[in-house]
Order: sequence, then structure tokens, then C-alpha cells
Amino acid sequence: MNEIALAGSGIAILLSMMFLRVPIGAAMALVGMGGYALLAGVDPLLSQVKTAAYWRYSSYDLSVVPLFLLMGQFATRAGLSNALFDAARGFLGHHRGGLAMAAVGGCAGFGAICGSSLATAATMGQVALPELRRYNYSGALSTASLAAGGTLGILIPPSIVLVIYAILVEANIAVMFQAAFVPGILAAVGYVLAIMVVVRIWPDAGPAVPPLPHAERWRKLLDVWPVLTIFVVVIGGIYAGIFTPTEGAAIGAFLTGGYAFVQGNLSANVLAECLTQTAVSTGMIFLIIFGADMLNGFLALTGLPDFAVMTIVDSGLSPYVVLIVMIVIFIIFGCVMDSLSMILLAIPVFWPVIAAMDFGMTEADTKTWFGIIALIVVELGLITPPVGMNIFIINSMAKDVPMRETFIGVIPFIVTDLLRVALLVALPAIVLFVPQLLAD
Amino acid sequence: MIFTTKFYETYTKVCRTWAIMGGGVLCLAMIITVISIVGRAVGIGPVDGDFEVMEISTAIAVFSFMPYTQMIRGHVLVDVFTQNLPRPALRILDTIGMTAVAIVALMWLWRMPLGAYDFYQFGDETTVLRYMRWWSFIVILPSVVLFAGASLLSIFREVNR
Repeated sequence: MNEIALAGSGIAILLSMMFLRVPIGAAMALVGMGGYALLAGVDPLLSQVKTAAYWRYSSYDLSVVPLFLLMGQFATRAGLSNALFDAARGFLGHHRGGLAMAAVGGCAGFGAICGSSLATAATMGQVALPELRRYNYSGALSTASLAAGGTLGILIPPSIVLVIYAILVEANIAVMFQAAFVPGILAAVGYVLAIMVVVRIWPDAGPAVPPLPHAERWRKLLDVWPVLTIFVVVIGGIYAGIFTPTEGAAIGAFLTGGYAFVQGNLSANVLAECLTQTAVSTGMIFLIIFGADMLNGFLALTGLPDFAVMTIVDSGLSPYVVLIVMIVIFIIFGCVMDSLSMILLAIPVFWPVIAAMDFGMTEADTKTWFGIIALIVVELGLITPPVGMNIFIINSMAKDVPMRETFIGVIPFIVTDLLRVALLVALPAIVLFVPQLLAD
Repeated sequence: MIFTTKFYETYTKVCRTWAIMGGGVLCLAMIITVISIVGRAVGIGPVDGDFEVMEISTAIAVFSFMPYTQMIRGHVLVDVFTQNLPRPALRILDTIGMTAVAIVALMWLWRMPLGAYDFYQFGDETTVLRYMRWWSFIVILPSVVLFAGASLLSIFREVNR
């Protein structure tokens, strides 16, 4: 019990540090190291720190992260975003709200080769936002559809958050990617439906634009072949088990970089910039990963995860009540924290609890299902106030749209997100049928 | 001011170059992996130890990214609860925050050379390539030194802001 109190104080100190602007990775590392020293002694801690970071950073599974980040960087420079938006626009633009739908479609396509939401929002924003404004789309609808569309970057595989989740709970990354496919498509469909509802109520928000001739539509669609090829090779190869996720990421980065180079978009300076951006995102993520390792080492010593499992199982609460409470906690924390920190912080305690409950599935299936639900819910934080990063990014591009308007505009999209979570909670088969199909 | 703006800029530039070189190592591992897969596909067989190359390169690359990330304040923090604080208060908090990063970096700087020495002493090597693990530290330790320097500079920068 004493150790549980120590774990509790550790978490309280951690939260205060985090909320007082201490970088999250450092806060986690310090609390973890301090607690570990208190429980196991200073010498074991000092000896652990000698190689803890080295071993963690030498992980084959984790090498997926910088490779997918690099692939995303190349993708943002390859000029693929224009082709994606133009293709989607050819088929959707002449409907009311069609350009916003095309923006979502473009995001979905870009999300299929990019594992980061911020990069997806930023890249598609640059292409789609000027067009949306040119055709008099309302500020709120323009920025909100791009901010929400950006989350498809991580919902549609490849997805960096999903890789981290898989490593934390020792799930198969390939299976997680398979499971994310249908929910990712559902997300895009949900966003398109949200736009349809918005333009039905406010027809002026999203006027139709002149249609393109059919021949030209198909020609524009053909222009997205590089995206399709890369997606099929990378994700298809991972799905089919032809190569590991790391190999898939290496091929993806290679193909995307190669395409950018052939297109003349990858000068030495641009390559250096791609590497620099990859370095910063990777450095940021891996400091948090190190911090989470330290913290989880400490929490495991206190027995907090076991304690949480016992308390919650003994309380006789329905598994669904527990799940919903966790979802609410994710949503609340998502408002102030980034999705990756949240996954690294919460999953080591949440997952053992979920694993101990009976949802009428095998443990492996529960793991997959819970991961996808957690992914969707933590990504909500990107478009909710007060720190929706996607909103910030898109809003910084649309100077004439007040932030408040974007936050209001994004509400219909959040509603579809919540409906989708409810749907997946009620029907785990939506998540599980692709992995089951591919396993046979 | 102990350090001039020029000094910060130069240090940041050095860190950026170091990170790009680390990124280059990652790209090399990427290319070797692609060659390995192609080799497997056309029947020549994979490159021996391709997994190990990826592991070694990732570690080298990630450590090389740390100093630059620190210099450009790339580490995520939560700022919603402190948005409306007056500047002096923010400065104090940021000094504390940067000190926290510095403690982590200094722990690495103090302990990791000993870790490298352990690898050297016990002759730890990878299974397939029989690559001596301490070799990586020839480039990892300079990354840690740069990171520690960057984290200390960040503290001074906050104090003098």
C-alpha cells in the first residue's frame, strides 16, 4: 500500500511538472529515475542508466518511427499533395461542399503514405486552403475540414502512434496496421458526411465549383499513381507479411524520396531540410520514449499496474464502464497533451486493466481493438480546444479566419469521431475482420 | 550575457550538421535494407545482418538528433495552464524545465561512457555481424556531449532571456 502511495505521489509530481512547462520526456525521466532510486536504491539506478537509452534506441521495431517520419518528410516535398487534391476535386468539386470533401479525400490519400497528422494537415493545407478560399468556402468549413482531415494521417496506416502502442503492449505492428484500415476509411467517410450536413444547413458555406469534363477527371485520377503504388507496396507488403514494418518503412522512404528526386523536388538543400525535420520529430519522440521507460520501470516496481487491475476487477464494474471511463480520461487529457505522450503514459496502466476484463474476445483481439479505439480517442486531442495542434497549424495558414471559428467549425467532425468510437466499441468486428481475413 | 547570440547560432548550426550526418546514417541503413529486400526477392538472398545494421544505425541516428532538438526547443511541453502568466514567471518555469532536461542529459553524459566501457571490457558484440557494441559509442558519445552542452546552453538562454 505504501508503494502505491509512492506511485500516486510520483504521478502527482509528474503532472505538476508537466503542467508547469517541464518538457514531458524530461519530467517522465526524472520522476521515473527518482522513484526507482527510492525503491531499488541509487546504485541499481546508476547502473541501469549506463545503457538504458542505448538499448531502447537500438530497438529494431522502433526504427520504424524515424523511417516513417522520413517518408512523411519526402512525401510532403514530392508534390504528391497537389495530385491528390486535384484528383479528389475532379470527382467531388461540383457537389455542394465538394471542395471541402476533396480536401478530406486528399488528406486520406496523403495519410496513406504519411504517418503523421501534423504533416498531413500542413501539407494538404498548403494545397487545398487557397482553393477553398478562392471559391468562397466559409472560413470555418475550410479550416475545420483540413484540421479534421489531417487526423487521417495517423488514423490511416502507416501510423506512428500505433507503432508505439504495439511496442508497449507487445502487439504485432502489422496486425495493428491491418486493423486500422477500415476505421481509417470510416473516419474519412464520417468527415465527408459531416461536410454534407454542414452545407445542407448552411448552403453558402461550401458552394459547388464548375465540373471538370469526365476525361480530365480520369486523367487527374491517373496522376495519383505514385501514391497508390507506394501505398500498395508498403502497406500491402506489410499486410501480406512479405516484409517487416521496418522494411516496409525503409522501402516507403526510399520510394518516396526517389520519386521526389526524379521530380526534381529533392535538391541537396531540401534533403538536408527533410533530414533536419525528421531529426527534430524523432528526437522529440525518443526523449519521451526514454522518459516513459524510466517512469514505467518505477511504476512496475511499485506494483501500481497490478494494484489497478485488482482494485478494478474486484469492484465488479462492467468492462464497458471501465472502457468508457478510460475513453473519457483520454479525451480530457487529450485536450492538453500530445497523443504520443498520452499513449506512453496511460497504456502501461490501462492495458493490464483492460486485459483482465472480459469483453468476450481473445486477449490478442482485445489488444488490437483497444489500440484502435485508443488511437482514435487520443487523436481527438488534435482538433479539440485549447491545444488542438492541427487547428493551430491550419489556422496559422488562414490568417483571416479567427481561431474561434475553426474550433466551432470542427464540432461536426468531432461528433462523427465520437459516433465512430461508439460504433467500434459496440461492433469490434469492424476492427477485427481485416486482420482475421488476412490471417487465414 | 556569458554567451553571445553568435555563439548560440554557431552551436545550433553545429548541432544541425551533426543531426543531418546522423540522418545520413539512417539513410544508409534504409538503402541497405532495400538492397536486402530486393536481394531476397530476386533470389540472391538478403544482406547478412540487415536487422543489426538497422538497429545500430537507429541508435546512432537518434542520439545524433538530440542536441539539435534541444537547441531549437523541439521537446514537447504542455503550455495551456501557463499561457497567461507574466513573462518573469514564465522565465522561471522555463529555467526549471530546461534544468530538468539538463539533468537527464548530464546523467547520460556521466553514465553512458561507463556503459560503453562495460561493452568494451566484456567484448559485447552483435550475433550475426559480430559488430563490437562499443564501436557505436565513438559517435554516440559526441552526441551525448553535444546534447549536454545544448541543455546547459538552454538554461543560460532562459536565465538571460
